[in-house]
Amino acid sequence: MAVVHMRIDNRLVHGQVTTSWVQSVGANHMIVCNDKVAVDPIQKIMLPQAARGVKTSVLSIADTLAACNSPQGEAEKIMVIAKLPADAVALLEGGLKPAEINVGNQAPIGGTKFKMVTNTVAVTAEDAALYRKVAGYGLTLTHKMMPSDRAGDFISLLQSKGM
Amino acid sequence: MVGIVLVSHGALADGLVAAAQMIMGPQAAMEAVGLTPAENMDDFLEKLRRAVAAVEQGQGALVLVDLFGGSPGNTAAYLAQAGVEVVTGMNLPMLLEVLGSRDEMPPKELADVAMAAGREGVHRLAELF
Repeated sequence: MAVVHMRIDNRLVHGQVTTSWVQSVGANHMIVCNDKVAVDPIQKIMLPQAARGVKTSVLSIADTLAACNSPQGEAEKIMVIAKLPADAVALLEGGLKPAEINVGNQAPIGGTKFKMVTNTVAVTAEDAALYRKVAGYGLTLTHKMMPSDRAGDFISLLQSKGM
Repeated sequence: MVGIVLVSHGALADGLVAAAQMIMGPQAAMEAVGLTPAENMDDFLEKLRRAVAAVEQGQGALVLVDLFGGSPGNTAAYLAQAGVEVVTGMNLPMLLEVLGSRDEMPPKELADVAMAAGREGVHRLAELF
């Protein structure tokens, strides 16, 4: 399986991803993974357009796993963008083995009890448990806005914020 | 008069409004909506819908967006699907032309004017010398 990078980012494909991350991790296929986004006709049109020429798929969790496990997927350098921490957990439970995992943006969701742990990452108690599950798969969960930023350990950050 | 909504990352839309009014004077039926770093995209879409409703004078609205492929533009795509004219790559020449023409044509034609003006405003001055 050739998943070179997994990013948890609820803004999906956007400027930071296309201008810096894809090149930095050397991906030639971006997979945006979330069951709801995968059936949103607008996102399915806009996200591949946003990717500036990098092959982009918008897939459900099941289809993401299938694509990464296919012979074609094995030959690619895939960057997976999981919309939510729950998507990342589901992918790891399904056997996905990304080389690295980073938390990008998580805008707060109205009506939830969240804490901003960075300028752009909101975390609820449920999210914190999910991020710890992700880290439990043996990889350091980093939080970097841009590839050139110093990599911090996201779980240590959660601890320092009392979560 | 076609209502105008400018949509951007951060304060670019506000800045374009200020720049356009510096050149053309105060403008009615124009709103700027800027995405902030921690903003939820569902909330942002709601802001866009409210802004379109606020500038609408009965002749429709035109939405100008800073960047094709950015989050503000991807969110504005929901407006486009609902039939609102949306043009990306907004710049000052585009906005000035749109403000000068919006009393004379419907949003569909105004979108064509915006596209042309946005492209035609790009020049390399060394070629003049």
